[in-house]
Amino acid sequence: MKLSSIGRVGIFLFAGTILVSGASARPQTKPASKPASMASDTGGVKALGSKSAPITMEVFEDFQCPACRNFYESSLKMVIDNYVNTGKVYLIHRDFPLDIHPYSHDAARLANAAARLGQFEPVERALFDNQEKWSPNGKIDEAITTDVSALKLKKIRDYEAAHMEEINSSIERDHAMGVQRNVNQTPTIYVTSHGKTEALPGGGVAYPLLKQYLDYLLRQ
Amino acid sequence: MATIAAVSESSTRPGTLPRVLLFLGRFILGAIFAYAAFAKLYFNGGWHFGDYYFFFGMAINSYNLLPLWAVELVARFMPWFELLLGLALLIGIGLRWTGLIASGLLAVFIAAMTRAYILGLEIVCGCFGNSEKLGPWTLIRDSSMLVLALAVTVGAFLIHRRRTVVSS
Repeated sequence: MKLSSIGRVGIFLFAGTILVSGASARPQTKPASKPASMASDTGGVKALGSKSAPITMEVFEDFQCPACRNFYESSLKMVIDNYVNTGKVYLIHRDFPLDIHPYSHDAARLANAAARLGQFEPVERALFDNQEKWSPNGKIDEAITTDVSALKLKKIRDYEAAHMEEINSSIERDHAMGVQRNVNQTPTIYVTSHGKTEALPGGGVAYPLLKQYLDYLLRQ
Repeated sequence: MATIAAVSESSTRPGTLPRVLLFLGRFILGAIFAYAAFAKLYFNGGWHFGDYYFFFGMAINSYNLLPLWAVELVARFMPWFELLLGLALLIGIGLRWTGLIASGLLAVFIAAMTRAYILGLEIVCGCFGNSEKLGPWTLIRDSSMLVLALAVTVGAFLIHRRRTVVSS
């Protein structure tokens, strides 16, 4: 039976796609490692997990950003539980407060002060868990008292007041780093493994896909 | 009789200008699709034959349209499909149908992007790599590509019809 032209075109596209994508699925030879393009600052106090973890994940975030909240609640929490706490991922928070969010700098200062007192994780969690409460009016302390005790909060705020310049500099350093790396939205995620840093699509990544990618990197 | 036949043939044979325009249109469209495929396979300074589908899958998934299994399927095959479609357009294989497929594909992309834009999703387009944020210019650009694809398709059908008339 003579094939019509659409049949020929259809077979060409279909078969060609299957063949070529199948060929690409064969194990590839490992590319030569390029020098890590990570910043020399390894995160320090705003980092979770072990520095010797095989994967490093940097997340440029704005505490008042809804997409950052969604990413934190639906993906990052599970990454922390399943990969950071098991020594597979070293997670670094980078501040990238956006000008469109009037209270993001205040939230970032609180988180940075908390980090210096060893309280980064609970404060980060409290900020994102209660974002819808403090985002409209900027009343951060009032919104997070259910998760961070008043005493602890006072201690953090006192520390913040005493080290304001240093904290602002730290936030500005992170922001400058993001600008240099063309961060144009939050969250923006960089994953470093085997000496190579990749930028993930901005706006956050669903946990199942992120898990697949992290598992793939761990298998290499 | 021979003179009438010769006059009749010349009046129904596709002119030079339509054929030149069709050639330019399919060449540009083919190059665009080929580049779209390239941008999904080469990014962050290197080829990603082994892991391109993770990144493209993340971009597709951010549209919140498809179930995970469909995201994975599309992520694996779409770049190669775009590459072959681009090559077919560049070479000029089955132009009526490759034009139609390109138009259909672009229409689906634009519908998905429009929906995401209206919903206020702050995501990457995924059109040419993983770094382009979805915005109004993305929609305008892709709509222009759809117009081009439709023009190529219509042109291909018209020229084919004229050739059919001549040969009959």
